[in-house]
Amino acid sequence: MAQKIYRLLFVDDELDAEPYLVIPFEDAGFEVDTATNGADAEHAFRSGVKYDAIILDNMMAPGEDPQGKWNFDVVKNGLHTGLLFLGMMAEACDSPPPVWVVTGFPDAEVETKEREFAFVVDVIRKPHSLELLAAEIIRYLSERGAGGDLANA
Amino acid sequence: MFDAWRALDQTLRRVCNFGGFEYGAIFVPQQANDETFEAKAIYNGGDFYFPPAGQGIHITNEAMHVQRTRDMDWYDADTSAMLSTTKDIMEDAYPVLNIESPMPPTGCVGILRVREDTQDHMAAEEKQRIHRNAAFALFIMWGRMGYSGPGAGKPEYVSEFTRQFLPRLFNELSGGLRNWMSLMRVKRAEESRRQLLANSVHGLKSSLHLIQNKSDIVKGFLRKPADQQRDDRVQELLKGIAGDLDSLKRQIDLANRFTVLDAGEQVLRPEYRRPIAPFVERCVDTLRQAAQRRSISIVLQNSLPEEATILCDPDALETAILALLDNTIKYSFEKRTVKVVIRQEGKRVAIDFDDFGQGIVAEDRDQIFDKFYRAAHVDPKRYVPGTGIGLTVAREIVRAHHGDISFTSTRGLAPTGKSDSDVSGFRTVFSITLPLASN
Repeated sequence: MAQKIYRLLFVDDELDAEPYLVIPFEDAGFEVDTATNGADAEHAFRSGVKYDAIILDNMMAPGEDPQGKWNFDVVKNGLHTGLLFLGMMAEACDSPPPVWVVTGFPDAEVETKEREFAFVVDVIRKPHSLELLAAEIIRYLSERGAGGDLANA
Repeated sequence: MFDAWRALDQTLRRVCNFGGFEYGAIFVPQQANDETFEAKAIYNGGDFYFPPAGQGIHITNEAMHVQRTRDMDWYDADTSAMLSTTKDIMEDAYPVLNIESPMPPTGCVGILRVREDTQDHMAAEEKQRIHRNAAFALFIMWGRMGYSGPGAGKPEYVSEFTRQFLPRLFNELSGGLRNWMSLMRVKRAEESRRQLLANSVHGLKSSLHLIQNKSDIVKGFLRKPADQQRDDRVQELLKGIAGDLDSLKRQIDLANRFTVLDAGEQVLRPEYRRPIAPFVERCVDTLRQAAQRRSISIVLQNSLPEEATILCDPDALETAILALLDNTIKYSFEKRTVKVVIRQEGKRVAIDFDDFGQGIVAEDRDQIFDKFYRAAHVDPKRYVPGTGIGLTVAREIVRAHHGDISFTSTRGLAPTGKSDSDVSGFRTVFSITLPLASN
């Protein structure tokens, strides 16, 4: 049986300067799309691609969208970008893919709100191992029989 | 008369609030009978409150008590302490006012209390003393205005008031002010530490995150068969790790410098002679890789003779130059050139850090050297990380070298290389000036 290949949306502004950070996920067998700000992440999420999992940095620039709804005022200087993206996901579909939120700037209030979304599996504080996170996501998806079999598609 | 009281009340309220006190007043305009005074009006928070008959505050020669009414929500704290203080004050005041009756004169009783947040940092005896003296003085002051009993208007009353109680009031208020300022210093220091910790930890964690994961990726590459592509990527990642370690070192150095500076303990020794151009060049080399990550190139121009030297504390000055250059790179637009220009200005050297990017908008200009101040984010595609201490530290270090930092930030267009798409932004130039050392 072919190994399942999971589709991952990796949202983190560090990927702009550090594109290598996708390698641990590619090596683990993910097909990875990236976004580096709120608007781009929403665009990817609404693009029709069915993601099996999302990694979401909680502090990012808002990005630019035609409606101008992403801006620094709404994302509270970056701190609420992840939170707003989670809210958008909850509104956009009935069963959003599981999300692992990553934070380098822990804020108890924001973290509590993020954990209130049922599809947020965990909030992980930097620094953490991307290799271990990749393994953890695969274990989570395998246990639930989730994910597309892109290798056979 | 209410207007005059209102004016006095408002002034005192402001002074008291600034001094860490809070203050209220009970107005007793008429005598109910020989034994009891009933407050006909209560003045608090800038408004008069007129309690219904039989309610409000009653003052007798035995005790004072308060019948709370639904309208007296303001009167919420420490009622008995307040009343006993007032009674003590009146007993102190009677002989001074030459009043034989134990009853207070028609007038107004001022009550001054140390505010709760100030109280936390004040010894109990000190608190009590301040309560008593300041409230006593206030009582006299208020009483003077509405007092019509024995001795009213006599010169000795006025002179006694002026001689004895006014200085007492202001002594206490200034004592309160000192106390309040000291409390504020403690609070500001706590807030400073909290902010510095949060911002620094964020930066340090990001660097550690990159180092950890790039190391893992290198290990992964090394498990694969050797080829040129693999080796090139490993080399690139190792260079990246070296850059991250360097960034980590700079962040720790800056935080250390800030801590010392904020505690008022910065001692610099600007006494080591260094040729300025090579000194700046080394700083530029340190940050070239960080600039390359954002596709920014750094051009260094020097119009000074090679033998031009400065007297400096080398480690500290390096921290200042790196902080400014790091700032320049962070706020420059991507794929642009940052210029570092060393030039002579009379007997001084000027080092310019020149970029085209996010710039400094007018609202930020007066505050960008303030500690923890972060310029407004204007590029929606990029969150600029930072601690808000780089410019603060840099300026203090440069000033300790008898120099200064200035800046200009001018909105304009810059070519993108494509004829129809000039980009709008700010040309920003930070300039360090330092005295040149004489030969």
